[in-house]
Amino acid sequence: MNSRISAAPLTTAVTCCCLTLALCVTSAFAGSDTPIDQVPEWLTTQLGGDTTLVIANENAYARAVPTLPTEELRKFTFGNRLFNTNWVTAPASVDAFDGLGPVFNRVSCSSCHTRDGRGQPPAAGEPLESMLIRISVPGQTEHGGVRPVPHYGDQLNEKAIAGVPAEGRTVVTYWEREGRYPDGTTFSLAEPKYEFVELAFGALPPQFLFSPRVAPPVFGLGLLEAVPEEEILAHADEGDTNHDGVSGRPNRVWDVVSGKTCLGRFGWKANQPGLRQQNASAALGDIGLTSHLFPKQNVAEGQLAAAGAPDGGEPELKDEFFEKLTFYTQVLAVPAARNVQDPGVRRGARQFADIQCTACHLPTLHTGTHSDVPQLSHQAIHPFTDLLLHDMGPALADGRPDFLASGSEWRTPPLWGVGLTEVVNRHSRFLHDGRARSLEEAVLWHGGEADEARDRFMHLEARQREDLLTFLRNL
Amino acid sequence: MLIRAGKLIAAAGVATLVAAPITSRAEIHGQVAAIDAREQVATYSEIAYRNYRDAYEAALKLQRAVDDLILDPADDSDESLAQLRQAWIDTRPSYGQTEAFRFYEGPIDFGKQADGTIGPEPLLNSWPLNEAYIDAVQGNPRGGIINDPSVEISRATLVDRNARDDEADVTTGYHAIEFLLWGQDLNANGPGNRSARDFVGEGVPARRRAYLKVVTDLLVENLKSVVDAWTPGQANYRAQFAAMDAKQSVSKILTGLATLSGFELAYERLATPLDSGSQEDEHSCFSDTTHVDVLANATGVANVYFGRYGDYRGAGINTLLQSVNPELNARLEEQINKSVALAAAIDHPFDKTLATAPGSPQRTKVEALVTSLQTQARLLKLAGAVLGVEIVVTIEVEP
Repeated sequence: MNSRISAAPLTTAVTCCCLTLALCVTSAFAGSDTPIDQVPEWLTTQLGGDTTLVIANENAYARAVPTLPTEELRKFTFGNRLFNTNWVTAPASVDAFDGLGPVFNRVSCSSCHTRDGRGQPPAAGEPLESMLIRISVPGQTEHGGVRPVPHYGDQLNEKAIAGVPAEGRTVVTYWEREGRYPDGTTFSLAEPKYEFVELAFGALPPQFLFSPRVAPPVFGLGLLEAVPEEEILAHADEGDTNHDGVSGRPNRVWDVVSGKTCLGRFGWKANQPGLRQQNASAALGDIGLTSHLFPKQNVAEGQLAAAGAPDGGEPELKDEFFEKLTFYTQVLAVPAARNVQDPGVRRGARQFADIQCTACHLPTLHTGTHSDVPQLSHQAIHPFTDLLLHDMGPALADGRPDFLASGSEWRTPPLWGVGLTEVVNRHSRFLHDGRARSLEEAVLWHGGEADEARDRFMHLEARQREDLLTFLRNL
Repeated sequence: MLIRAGKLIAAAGVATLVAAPITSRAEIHGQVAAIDAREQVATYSEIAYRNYRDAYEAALKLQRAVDDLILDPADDSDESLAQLRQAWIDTRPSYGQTEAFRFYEGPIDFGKQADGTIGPEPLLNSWPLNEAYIDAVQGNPRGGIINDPSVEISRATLVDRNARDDEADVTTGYHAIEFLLWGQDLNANGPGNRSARDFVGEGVPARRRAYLKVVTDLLVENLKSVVDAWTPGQANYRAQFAAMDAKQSVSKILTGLATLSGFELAYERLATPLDSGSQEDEHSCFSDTTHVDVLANATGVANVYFGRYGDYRGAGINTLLQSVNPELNARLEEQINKSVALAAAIDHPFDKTLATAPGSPQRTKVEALVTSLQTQARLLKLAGAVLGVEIVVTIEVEP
């Protein structure tokens, strides 16, 4: 079966938005030069507080927080081993590491989060290697989550073990869209389009929704986990009562352990309440590993061959392994910022604050008490996120609601370590679907609540824009 | 070249401090004494030079054996392959000892961690290695770079592909060569058993020969670079190391020893395979020589601590600590000797130990070594505190 779906609901909006950016900007904001002595108080190398590690090479995301006692490193080391494990089809001679699939996207955590870093979209026509497609149909489950697509589930699993059909394949192509800064400088943005082919279980339904997601970096997550809910909620401004054009609201999601609705914290749409559920969900959805949180195989109804495949134990990801994997993701250290004494970096940080990028990319949060890892407790951290949802406008919208997150809302992604993406992952692709080919393009794609901040960025002088990007490159 | 060394600790008594967590470094301030570390730094540099030179010369012998194979591609005798394998085995004890010079941004590993440059280590000794990325494996007889004619076998392509998309996709170094020489270890009682015929003929065997040649040459070249960095009388790292503030150089020396002991050997190479029970986690899994690596690492720490290598005798770190805190030094000397003895006593092949049940006598021996190495790392950190130098057991996750 080889059904094709044209999936480009956003094309028109994107084109319009980008082409007219330069024309419709009417902000009275005039960029100001920044005296070096007026740098924001949050500009520091210690982005992860005392847990920050000074490192800027390709292992910059891959190390444990330096304050961890040496004795704890046995767990970390084994967690790293698990993160890098290439899971194999059950039954296998290495019994502990079988249970792949029956359907999956990649065989290990690290194949998407390479060196604990960021995934990227494929070159045009190539298979997805470190990104995936979430899918659903409109409506909500009883707990408020997405409704899976009949016969496919909530994620397109593009690979499968022998004897089981893969669900389908995604083909990504890009269209260039020209734009222009007010100063006349031109730019071009690449807008992705997706087609789904080789669909094994028939055409996708007409009301089908999808959301492309690249693998986000996985360091610093224990710190984000330790930020008290009250501190996150204190920054929420659902009705934009301060009239800054930026609202910010928490997602409320289903916690499978407590059986309650909780604050969403992780994932591109903050649809996961904590690291354990995030990890268990990724293990199941992406690799096909059951765990005590999700003991049921990831097999949509009607996938007969998959339903009959042998499993790799109950659960496939043993509790002891799961805890070590979780520990690993809790204690991966945040790399230090670089060159914070450099005048360009200092001016850029000031611009970042002046044009109010900081309204969402909140520079400072504080951790409370981390119940598992005391070293993560009571730190002033600088993740540059409020962990809240923001409407990012039609150009970036996926049109696929997820719990309270609308089809155009995204959780502010952290920016710490973002400047090391090229060193660690040898690419510079950003945003949820990796469409931006540089940090500058990522800024230019911002819309919705970020319209004004992006307009202010575009109105900066070229050297001021460069300063701001220099600041980001040193995070 | 003076070090400020804390005295308080000597009065506090070593036994209590060993049991206490080392995080309470704040307590270790007090009266400080001046110490001259010139001799110890010079000894360390000389050991590094001699040790890397031995590793380099062993690699040259391996290179000659590989060249012989390339020159006579019709030679399918088991003897030739056995000689080649022996040449590889002979490279390992010396290289394993040099790992005491890692983990502090020295010439071997990270160049400058803070600016992103990387030394030759990831190209030399990366593991675990996904052998399916390199060559055919059971179940995939046409897999790997060697069977993919679209990939040119050259230095540039293999270096570029090393751990590019996956940390285990290692293309170069000792363990890539090991896999080429032995093949997969599918035998519970012995090492891998690749046929000598795998290297005979045109097409895929020719690509396999070419691969072996490229990665062996690269190994030699990378080892030469570290020999050069430690050669006496040159404007090189050794000269910089000698000119460094004593606190800085002693900090690097102790950081290397503590990290190799407490993290790399204890956890990466021993505890992780014990915890997984998987042969995949064994350091030299194709040749079944992991026990050689383990002993070499433990010996490398002892070399530096006692200031000796082969017939060379110099001033070890023990002489520095002895003058400040003889009790702690005695404890460390004993612990390091104990680790070497325990390392020499583990059973081999190591994968047979991994296959035993938890609590087995074989596992118990390895666990005892892990514990001894942990204690050793704690004592080394304590020695750093006594000498007033910072030691962070940096975690290297191997690409």
